[in-house]
Amino acid sequence: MIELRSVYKSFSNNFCLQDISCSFLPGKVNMIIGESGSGKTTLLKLMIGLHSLDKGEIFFEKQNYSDLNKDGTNNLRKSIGMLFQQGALFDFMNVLDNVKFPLQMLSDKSDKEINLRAKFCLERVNLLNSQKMMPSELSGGMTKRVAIARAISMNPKYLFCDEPNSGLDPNTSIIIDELIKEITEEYNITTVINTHDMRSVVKIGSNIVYLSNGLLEWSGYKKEIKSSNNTSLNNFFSSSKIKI
Amino acid sequence: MYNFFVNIGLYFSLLKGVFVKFKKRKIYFNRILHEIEVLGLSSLFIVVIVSVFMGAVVTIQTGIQFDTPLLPIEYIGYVARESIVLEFAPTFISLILAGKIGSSIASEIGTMRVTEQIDALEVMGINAKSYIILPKIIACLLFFPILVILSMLVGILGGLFAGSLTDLLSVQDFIQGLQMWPYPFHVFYALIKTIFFAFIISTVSSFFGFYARGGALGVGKSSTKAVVVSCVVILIFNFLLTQIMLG
Repeated sequence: MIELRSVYKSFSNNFCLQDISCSFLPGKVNMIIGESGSGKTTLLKLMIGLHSLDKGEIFFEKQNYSDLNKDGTNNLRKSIGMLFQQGALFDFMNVLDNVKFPLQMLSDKSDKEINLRAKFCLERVNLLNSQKMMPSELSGGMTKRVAIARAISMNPKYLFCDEPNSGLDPNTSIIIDELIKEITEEYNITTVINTHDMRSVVKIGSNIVYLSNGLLEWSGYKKEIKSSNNTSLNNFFSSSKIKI
Repeated sequence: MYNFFVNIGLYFSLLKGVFVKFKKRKIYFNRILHEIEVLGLSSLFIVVIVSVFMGAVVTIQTGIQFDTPLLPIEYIGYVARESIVLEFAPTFISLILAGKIGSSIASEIGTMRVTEQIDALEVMGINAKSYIILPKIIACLLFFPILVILSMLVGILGGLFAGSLTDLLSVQDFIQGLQMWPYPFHVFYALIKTIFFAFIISTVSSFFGFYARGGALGVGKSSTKAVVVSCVVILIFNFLLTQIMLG
């Protein structure tokens, strides 16, 4: 479980997140939703350590991120998989090498074991046949699937996804959503997805955190949204014209 | 002025992050070989072309200045050799390489920054500074001296051909000039300068790429800045090193 306690973040004296306290559950697809500019990506980047906290605490299984030394941070990062908005595959490596990369850099596995694991991950996302292709030759959906394979290659306990459906057609979005959900349940991962795609929220979301203007407006289970009396959340959902 | 000092601080902080102990030597070794191919071998053609014509022009211009019977004609070969070895090969070629390699390094790393590839490395717990920049620095330090020695040889050959083709002096006179007062320290001085310039080009360009912001436009701007700043720093260090080593 990941727990945030009174998290604050500002850029150049403009606050971006204020007093955010919430938790993300293991084995579930946790979703951070909100309009553009509501602070979703900043919150995600705070959790994975790409931004530093102004104030507050982030706990990974009761372990305070801020209290960790360099080795502790590196060990924690080994248990984190991240799916970036554009995939962030390394341009100079082919698909297989991209998936092998974290294993080569961070594990003590032999070349044979690394190869087997990377191929298993590629097979899991149905891309074993594309292992020799370069990132520039992949479609948007394939890029996301390779990025998922790379993210799960180290058997992560936590999977973070920054707008996994951005730039994808509806059918490919469904494939990516289902893949993330399956992987989350299969490996009991704490998955945190940052999105404003309400279709994804309805389809795979379980625990929802709603941000508006840098403030936590609402958090709870998906089934509770319908009965919520939070006007901002209700307006946000009704504007998407998708029924829960 | 404030930004200038902030950037100096950031530059040294970047260098501190680059030169750290690393475990996966085999991966770094492969990266160095890859960078030698991308940055070094791909520069051979431009170095050869520039050097041939540089040597030819230096020889012709020296010949024009020697339009007096008081100076032996072989001196043209000697002056061309010294000009090429002392200044043209190390400095001129380094300025050319600052344009070619510097912009390539800055735009490659800048693109990695704006497409979140550097963030991906950091999330994995990999030292992005060391993994990306160190192989480039080592490749430049190893390959620049080879390129400059090649430039010296090809430049002298260019001078020899230009001298004989324009009937300025015979091949024999040119070779006689080349053998006058050999001074190996000048080659050593040129190589020391080259190593400094290789370090400047690789680190300054990496710095501008690593801190690129603002999408494709930002990458373009950082690439331009990398070339301009590398050239200025090279010229300053050229003056300082010449004063220290020859002054």
